[in-house]
Amino acid sequence: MVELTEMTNWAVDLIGVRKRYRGGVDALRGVNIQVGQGEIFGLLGPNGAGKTTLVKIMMTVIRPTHALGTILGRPIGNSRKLARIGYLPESHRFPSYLTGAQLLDYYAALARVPRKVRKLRTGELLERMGMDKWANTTISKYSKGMMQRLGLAQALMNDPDLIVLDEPTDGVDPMGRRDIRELLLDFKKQGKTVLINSHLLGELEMVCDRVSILVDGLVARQGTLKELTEQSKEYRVMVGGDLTSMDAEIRGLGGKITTGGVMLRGHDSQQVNALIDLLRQNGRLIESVEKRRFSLEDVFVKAMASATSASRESAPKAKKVNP
Amino acid sequence: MMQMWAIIVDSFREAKAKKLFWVLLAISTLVALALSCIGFDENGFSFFYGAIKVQNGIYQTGTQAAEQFFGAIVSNFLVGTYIGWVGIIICLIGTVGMFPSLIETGAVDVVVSKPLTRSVLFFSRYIGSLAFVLAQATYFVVLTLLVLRWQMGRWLWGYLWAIPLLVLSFSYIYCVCVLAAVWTRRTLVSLVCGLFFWVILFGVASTEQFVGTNESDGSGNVVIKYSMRGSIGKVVYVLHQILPKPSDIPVILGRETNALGSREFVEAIAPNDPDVLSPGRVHQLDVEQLRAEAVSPSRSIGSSLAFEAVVLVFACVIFSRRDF
Ligand SMILES: Nc1ncnc2c1ncn2[C@@H]1O[C@H](COP(=O)(O)OP(=O)(O)O)[C@@H](O)[C@H]1O
Ligand SMILES: [Mg+2]
Repeated sequence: MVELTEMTNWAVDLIGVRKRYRGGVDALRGVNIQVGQGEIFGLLGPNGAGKTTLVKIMMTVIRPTHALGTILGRPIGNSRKLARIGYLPESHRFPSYLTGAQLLDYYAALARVPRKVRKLRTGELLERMGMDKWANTTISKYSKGMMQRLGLAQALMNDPDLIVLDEPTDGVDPMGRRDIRELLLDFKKQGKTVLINSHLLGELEMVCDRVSILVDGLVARQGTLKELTEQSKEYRVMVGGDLTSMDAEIRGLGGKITTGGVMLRGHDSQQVNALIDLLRQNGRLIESVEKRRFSLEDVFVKAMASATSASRESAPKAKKVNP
Repeated sequence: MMQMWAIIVDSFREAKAKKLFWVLLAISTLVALALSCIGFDENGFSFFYGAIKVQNGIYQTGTQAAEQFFGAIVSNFLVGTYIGWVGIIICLIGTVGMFPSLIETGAVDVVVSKPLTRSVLFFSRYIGSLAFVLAQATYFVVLTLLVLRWQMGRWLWGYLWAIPLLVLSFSYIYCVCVLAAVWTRRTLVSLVCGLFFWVILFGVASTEQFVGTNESDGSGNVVIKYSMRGSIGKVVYVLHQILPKPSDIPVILGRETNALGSREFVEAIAPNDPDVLSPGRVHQLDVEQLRAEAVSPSRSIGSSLAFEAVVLVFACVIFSRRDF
């Protein structure tokens, strides 16, 4: 038994997670998520997709209606493994009467970190977050950005193997965001696994190895960033002059006239060359040809669109289907 | 153990961070100061450390009446009023936010995701709340004990029982506040539920006393008999047995401080005054005394604690199973 569960290579391996809140909201409807050891994993999704619910289930804050699988090789809620996880909850409110140093010490004590180690790490982490001057100031005087940095420090006090961050860049200025990104990459270097949950795509794109797009309580897409963005491309052919006279022919090749050129969806280079031939035959001057990868945002929007239309077809009376 | 200690320390820090904590200490200090202003000398009363003197034939330094006077202050005011209910209300207000703040959205997440069971978290927090009350009670009782020593010239050691007994009677009510708090997450609802519960307890205890009749047996001694007649009488009697009995605490404490002897007190004040010591009054005092003696501390406290334990286990189950 022990070998069997330890054998899995996933840091997080969740199967069929379902959660129905009291009142009947189906927040998760059978989610499978696999996070590899040592990778930065992004959990994406619009507001209300169920990201926080999933994270809270992992952290035993709420009880799943149904869930199988393991975290760090053990079932959800295993106390020895919880001691190996760092967690920054969404829109956290730390006890405002504590000082930064007291808060770190308190939370680390709850995570069973020995006193001596706590003292040492409190100093280290506050310095690393650039907050050593604020160590003995009560949290009530902290700014939003400082709270977030303290939250991150708090999640690192037990030197975790897995770090779970729920919207860590919420309310953080661009500089702070960059700091957080660097921190994440730092963790990765140390071999730690990071699960980060966000509705801000650009940030995840820069650091995540793999992402999962959650829509309406279901995983719409999951894979490495490359897998998700590779096949979806478009070409932009920039051409001088007015193209309206050639509209029908361009459409025939699958193109679409945009300002300053033609856009061609897909990844067929034959098609692009045919388009260029057509334009050249008509004496047009090609200014540039650009091959564009779809951004994560495009993947995201597509995933959302297909997920909502799918649920509209399969379950016409399902909740939360936008008309 | 480390985790429990951390939670208790944190609860205490939270209480200490509130202004109320210091306000309570200030009130305690004021009460002790006021008490120290009342004294006697060879000719009668002496207020404000001798600044105001009132001649009196009975109350003088060293007289039994003076001693009994302080006994009355202890039993009526310190024990009956302050420990009996004012102190409890104050401590309830001071601690009623403990559980709602623990399970506040955004604050609860980190704590419940730590490697400790929720029941440990729950009971540590409960003990943390009691620690607050213990600190307040200790300060008040020790301070007033010192003042009484100064006034009466002897240590009233039995009065120290007020510390654990105040914490105890506080916890009778507080457990219901906690239950309401883990259920609704609202501070105000929790406080109102606790006070409402207290009113019910008071009502049950008074009705039970009212139902219990006192009679004289043939030889003229007063005896107390609880009439179990009528279904209401039975219900109230059973309820009183099951529910916590905070109203017994001052009685138990009064016995410990030896400050009860109300009949002797009246006799000491007015040895030969037929108006004060009318037969009806004597009878009433005897009934009070008998009632007090009828209270069995172990039974009263034991049954109250049993009820409290049930409420707490119920609250803990809710706390352990709910989503945050
Ligand atoms: N405590 C709760 N009770 C009932 N419904 C909830 C609760 N928490 C979240 N929900 C619902 O569950 C769904 C998912 O919410 P959430 O997990 O917070 O999404 P996300 O973090 O992706 O924005 C939403 O429709 C939300 O309204
Ligand atoms: Mg969320």
